[in-house]
Amino acid sequence: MRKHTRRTTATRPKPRRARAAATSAGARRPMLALQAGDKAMSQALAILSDTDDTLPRRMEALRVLQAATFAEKQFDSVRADFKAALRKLVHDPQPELRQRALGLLSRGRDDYAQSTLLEGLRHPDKAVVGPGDALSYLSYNAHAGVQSVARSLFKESKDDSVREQALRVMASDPSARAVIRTTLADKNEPVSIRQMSAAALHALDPQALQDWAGKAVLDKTEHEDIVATGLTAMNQFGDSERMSGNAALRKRIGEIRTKGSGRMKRLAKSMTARHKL
Amino acid sequence: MNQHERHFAAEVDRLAQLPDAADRLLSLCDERHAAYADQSAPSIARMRGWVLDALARRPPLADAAIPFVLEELEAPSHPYLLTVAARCLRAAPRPHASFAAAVSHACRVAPGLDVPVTLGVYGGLGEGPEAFDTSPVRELAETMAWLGPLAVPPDAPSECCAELPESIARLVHWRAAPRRGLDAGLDRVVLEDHRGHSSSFRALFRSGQPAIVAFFYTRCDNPFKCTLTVAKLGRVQRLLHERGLGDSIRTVGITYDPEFDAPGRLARYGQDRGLLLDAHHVLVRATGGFDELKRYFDLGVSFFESLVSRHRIEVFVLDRTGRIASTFHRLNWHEEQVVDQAAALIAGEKAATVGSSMASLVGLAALAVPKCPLCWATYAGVLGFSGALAFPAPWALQVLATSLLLVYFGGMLWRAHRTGIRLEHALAVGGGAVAAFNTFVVPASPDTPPVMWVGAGLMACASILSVARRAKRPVT
Repeated sequence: MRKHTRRTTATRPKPRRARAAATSAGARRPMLALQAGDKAMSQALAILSDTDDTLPRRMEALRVLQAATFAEKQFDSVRADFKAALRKLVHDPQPELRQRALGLLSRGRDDYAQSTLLEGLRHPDKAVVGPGDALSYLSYNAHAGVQSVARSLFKESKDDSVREQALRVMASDPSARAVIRTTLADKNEPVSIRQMSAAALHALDPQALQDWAGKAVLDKTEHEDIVATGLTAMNQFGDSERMSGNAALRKRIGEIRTKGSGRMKRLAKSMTARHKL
Repeated sequence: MNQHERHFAAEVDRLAQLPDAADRLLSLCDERHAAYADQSAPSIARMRGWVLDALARRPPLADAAIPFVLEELEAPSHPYLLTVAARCLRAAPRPHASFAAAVSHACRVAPGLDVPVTLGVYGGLGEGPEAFDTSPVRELAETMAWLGPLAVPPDAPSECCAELPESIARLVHWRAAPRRGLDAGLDRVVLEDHRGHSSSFRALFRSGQPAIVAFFYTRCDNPFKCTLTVAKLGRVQRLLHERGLGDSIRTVGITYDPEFDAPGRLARYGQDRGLLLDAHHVLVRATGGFDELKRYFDLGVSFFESLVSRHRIEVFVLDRTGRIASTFHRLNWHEEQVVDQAAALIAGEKAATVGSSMASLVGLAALAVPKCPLCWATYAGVLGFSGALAFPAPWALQVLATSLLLVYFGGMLWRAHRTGIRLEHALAVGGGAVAAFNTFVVPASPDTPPVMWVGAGLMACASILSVARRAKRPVT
């Protein structure tokens, strides 16, 4: 008799193409020929720090070391050396290594990485990565002191990806609330920036977002993506009682349910069902 | 390092050369120092680290500095500060068993914070990213060795070790603050709780019940400060309920970050940390008058823009009128101790109520006692008219008169001792002496002049003068 077992993601056989890709990736992974025991970590550190070595070997050394960080006790003896090596990589000529090192250090709220990134934002000639990436790394630490820099970058930058990252940082800065509300209401701003503003406002002042969402949904001149953002905000976080008491809103949602695009219809239906409008 | 930090580092170096360097450097350990205003958390960590580094270079470490060092070991969050604190502790005159728990705790946490550090260099960052001479783990290993037999292994329970010596504990740890009056500025304080209900400071804290108040903020990234404080407040609540005090002592958590910590966020934060939240046990934010609140509790907190950049652990026990009865700050506090303090407050207030009633009765009785010749005359008149003054023998009257005169003279001498000799004292003693002379030495008779009345007159003048002088004195 065949035994029936439920297959999970781990036990389900991988499609042939995926298996082949994984095998070839493993085959492409360079062999570091590390010694067994404690010396392996020192060897990996040496490869990682050697700028004359190839990028794939150095990336592999970083992968090995990063995996070893989970072996708490065994890795403790080289942890400080690993951090020192990562700090050195912040200035490495290889951008991939720079990015990986900054990501690892920033998640650990490393002082050196934060200082270097802030210095780069204030003096672009000293920057080791672009301002968008720098803000992204710095946003791992709400206490890094990057809020004022983010506000000024949001105001001055012409690059929307930088402004989006700045908004991420501003989402934890109550003094940026007014700027975020203005941006959200500004129809001249790109949709992606306004959507990011909606998320930031939800973090700072959920009620203000609900107030805006009510107006955005009623505004027939508003961009469809923004109306969808408003509907989603109301659907997920809105007060059913308040919404059902708003006749204009109920009427507008009824219109969207019958005349809107497929996506908007689905959103309106979901909202009607969830909040019994 | 920004310009402000450069100036600060130079100032610390200058102070370290002065003869009273220890005192001056200690003043820089206080979070409320103007030097930390509007500086980011990493900047403040570097600045405080540099102060501790300077203290470590000038052993022996004063008792007053030790709580600041232990604080960094009990609640480590910054690798440089932790490294410096581990080294600074070794500048203490001698190891003490009470240091062991903090060092042991730091050893447990340090591997996760282990980064290269160069001591003797501002911020701990040496020349170039790779240069370093120590790390938190290495410094703590040396501090463990310094503790010698007093050290406890990192996996020892936190209650393993001795209490701090009184000379250190009384400085900042578990210190009962003197009772202070309520500041008028507190009327501007508006507190919104986790349910969104607003109340004034007086309505919340002058409800006739003592309160245990802890400060925190939800964005605090140091798990050994706010998260631990709120979790401990939950344990305080359970202890109160176990002792049957859950309804008679309030618990209140107040956020340092009122702009960000909206009611919903406060409720989630408290519930996630095991807090029992209701109308009696609340988490609140000040929607108005936060500065007044900060001033009243003398909070050890600094801000960078809209975010808290540094704070100490702060727990208070308030009496039923909202006055601060005791303060627990900087170092970890014990839940039982805080509950004991609040419970003692209730017991003390009950005893004070009984004592106050007794005092009123004694006061009323004292009013009825004849205290001056005018009173004596009145009482004598009443007794004479009513016929109640029936003494068994003349000698009994003489004993009574002698006793009253002795009390009178004793009272006058005591007053003269308290206030210095005044005219009324001279008149009273003179009048008493004349009356005594005319009673015991040369008794009054129809043939002799009535000298006793002169004595009584002098005593009456003394009484009137004394009362008149007291009436002129302003009420304080």
